[in-house]
Amino acid sequence: MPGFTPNFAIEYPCAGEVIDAAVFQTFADDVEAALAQVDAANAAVLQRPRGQKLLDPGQSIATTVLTTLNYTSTVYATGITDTATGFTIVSDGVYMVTLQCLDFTLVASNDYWSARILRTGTTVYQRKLFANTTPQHHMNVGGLLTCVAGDTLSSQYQWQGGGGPVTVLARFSASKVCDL
Amino acid sequence: MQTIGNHGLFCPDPQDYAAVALYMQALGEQIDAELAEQLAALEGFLSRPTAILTNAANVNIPALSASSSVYTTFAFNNAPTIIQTQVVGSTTYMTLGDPAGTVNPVTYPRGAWRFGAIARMQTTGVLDGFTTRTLRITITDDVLGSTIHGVQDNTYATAAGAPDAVNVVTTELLTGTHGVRVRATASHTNSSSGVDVLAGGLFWATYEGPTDIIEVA
Repeated sequence: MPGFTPNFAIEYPCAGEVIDAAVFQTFADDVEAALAQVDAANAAVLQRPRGQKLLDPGQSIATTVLTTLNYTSTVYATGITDTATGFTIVSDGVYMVTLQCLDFTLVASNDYWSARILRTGTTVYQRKLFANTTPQHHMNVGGLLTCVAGDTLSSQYQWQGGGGPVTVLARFSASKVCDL
Repeated sequence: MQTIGNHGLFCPDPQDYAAVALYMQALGEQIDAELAEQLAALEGFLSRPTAILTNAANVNIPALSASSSVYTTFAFNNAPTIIQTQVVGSTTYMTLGDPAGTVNPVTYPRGAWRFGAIARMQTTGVLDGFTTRTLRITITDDVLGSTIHGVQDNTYATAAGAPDAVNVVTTELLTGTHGVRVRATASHTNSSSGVDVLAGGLFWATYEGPTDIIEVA
């Protein structure tokens, strides 16, 4: 009766067994299978599902209109489906999702500005800041989210004030942290 | 036997051929152990300790008040032995490891941890303009008995564009030698009514990785 190693079940002969070429082949095949298992984990580490979208040149947004950001390019997308408005999740997991916005338009007045991250149409992360007419309203929003395959990630921007519309630049990223 | 390389592998010398079966067993077990260690490290990266607390329903914070017990339910936790909640008075902490005084503390991985929270806040009555909405994360070392890190986001409330929302993210280097407690505190200065933290808020922690890896070849 052959023996087996504890983790990868690599088969080896026991004392008294006839050792022929087939025994060595089985041993080598089992080592190969163990290496393949480690290779798969290594590939998963090196190729985490992640993506980044860029909105540049910016998007024109009128006062009070909660507006979905439409990105102009994909910086990268691996293991995640990029869309015009963000991403569609392919692999279930916990994701770090971040949104950086820059509204650089000088307006007559500004009551507030706000940016949101949505998962399948529902707001999950948001910041809303109080008025400032100074141009260059920077906004960073983000955090961890549980996602399942088919979930969509998108973003919205809203402001209220006089003048405008404002032009918003944005960078939207998602990166898988761990499995569910 | 001759040693090969630096992973403890070996091959037989001519005088060892009578013990080929034993050699293959030892070699197989050595390969198995080396690969198992590598696989454990890779899988550890793929499933680093992470937890997310949430509030399933709106949480009301009375006028001119604060609450450190908004997020009380785990929406996700892949490390329940080291990340738990602890209620002390009116505060719900997220704990990493065991609190002080435990004889055999549950350690957590030392290194960089990232924390964050989101609170979307809406008045339940009259909104007083220019009042603040604040969300603060505080990390306390139970052994030292002191706050080792605190960070917050705040904004001023406006009736338009509701709700008001604050969002905090921070990173802290933790030793892993004894437990720490982390709390998220939402507060406001609205005096005419209370403020709800809307359901679906999130308060989370995730292990980024060690900062002091020493590899000995």
